[in-house]
Amino acid sequence: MNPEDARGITRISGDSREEVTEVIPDEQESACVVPIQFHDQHANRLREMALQEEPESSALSSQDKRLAAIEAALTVIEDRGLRGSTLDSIANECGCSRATLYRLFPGGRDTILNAIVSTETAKLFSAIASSMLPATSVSEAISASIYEAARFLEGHRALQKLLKDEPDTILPFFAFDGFESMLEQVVSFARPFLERWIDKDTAKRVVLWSARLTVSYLLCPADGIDLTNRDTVTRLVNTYIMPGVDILVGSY
Amino acid sequence: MDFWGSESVINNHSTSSTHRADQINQRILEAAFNCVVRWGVAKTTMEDVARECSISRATIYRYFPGGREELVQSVIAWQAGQFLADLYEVLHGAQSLQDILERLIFFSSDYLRNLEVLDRLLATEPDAVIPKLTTEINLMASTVSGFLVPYLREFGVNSQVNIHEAADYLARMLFSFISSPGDLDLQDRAKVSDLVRVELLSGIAY
Repeated sequence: MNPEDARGITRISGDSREEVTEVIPDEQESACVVPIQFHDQHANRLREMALQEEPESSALSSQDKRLAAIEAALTVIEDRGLRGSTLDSIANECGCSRATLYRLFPGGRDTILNAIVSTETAKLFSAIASSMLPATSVSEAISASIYEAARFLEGHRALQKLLKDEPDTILPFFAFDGFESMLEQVVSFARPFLERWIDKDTAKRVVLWSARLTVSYLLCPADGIDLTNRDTVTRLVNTYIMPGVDILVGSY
Repeated sequence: MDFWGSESVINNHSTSSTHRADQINQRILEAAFNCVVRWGVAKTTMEDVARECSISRATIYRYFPGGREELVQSVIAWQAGQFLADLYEVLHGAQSLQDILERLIFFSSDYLRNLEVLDRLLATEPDAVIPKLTTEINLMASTVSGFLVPYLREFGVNSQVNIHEAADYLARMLFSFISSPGDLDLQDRAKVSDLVRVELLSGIAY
């Protein structure tokens, strides 16, 4: 597309949607039909959920396109980091126009980045939830959730790229106030899974405790402690967390 | 004073040059800290620091070859060092592991609460501050971990516990709870006591 169009689109906000529609010819829209390569069942479930929210007669809903754009943006971040992830590079990776991205994500790049945080958090929570469901005891559930969270975060190439090359962009999510709001989210999501075995207050404390432990060892690895090793996680949980859970269960 | 001028001063007094260099280093750090308190990290320039301490930019660059980045990191390290020195004073004479950790949490959270500049920087320029703080916190955690080892030996730990791993675990959890307490009130002695008993020491020394 020519620069004229691109400039026009950057000014687009809610009141000028008509203009966007005019700018994007249909064939450019269909250029956004990129196969979504999710690597695990949780993400697929997420995609199904997303599709159900917005049933459309067309082959690909705009929710579908949004997810494809998010995957494309993640690939760009893996390659070039956050600062190198321009709207152009995301559009290029996605095989669609900047205009299409602006229509899918009013607000542009920032909106896409926020959407990435939401979808990746949802994927992480979904992975943790699936790991906790088959657990038969509270210690199994805690170990499984730490192991699964560690595997997800360590294997998350975009996250690892940012932690390595542009920590200033990502660390605010894992420290001080940013970490507190992440912990709040983790509690409200994970607590119910533990309430099968322990009371609400204990469950909250245990979730916070496990999340702190996980993030600490992931951001600043210690010799001999690899949270993507099941035996290590089980040992840590049994050594440091379970005695405390026993105290709490006995005292409430 | 220009670069060459200050150089000759140091050369002419070589016997006390180390002491003098320390003093200059200290003056620069204090000036940089004052500038950051006043203007924040992003708006503090080397020129501001030079004016604040009346030391030339060239000299400041000689002490901090990495420039602004290195200077800011050094200011944080210097403040962290001060904090640790005060902390050791507070821990002196503690009677048990429970006592040590309670004092540590209480003192640290009180210190952070009164460090207005930190609140302001975290609110206004988290991107500039948090990575540098995180680097420093990781260093402090390993210092604190090393500091705890002799106490764990002295007061004793459960038989299956590795002392070094336990000290490392404690330091991590301490820094996590202190820097992001959430809805936990770390000035509430009963809550802190409970936290130390359950989340920190239950697996290590009970």
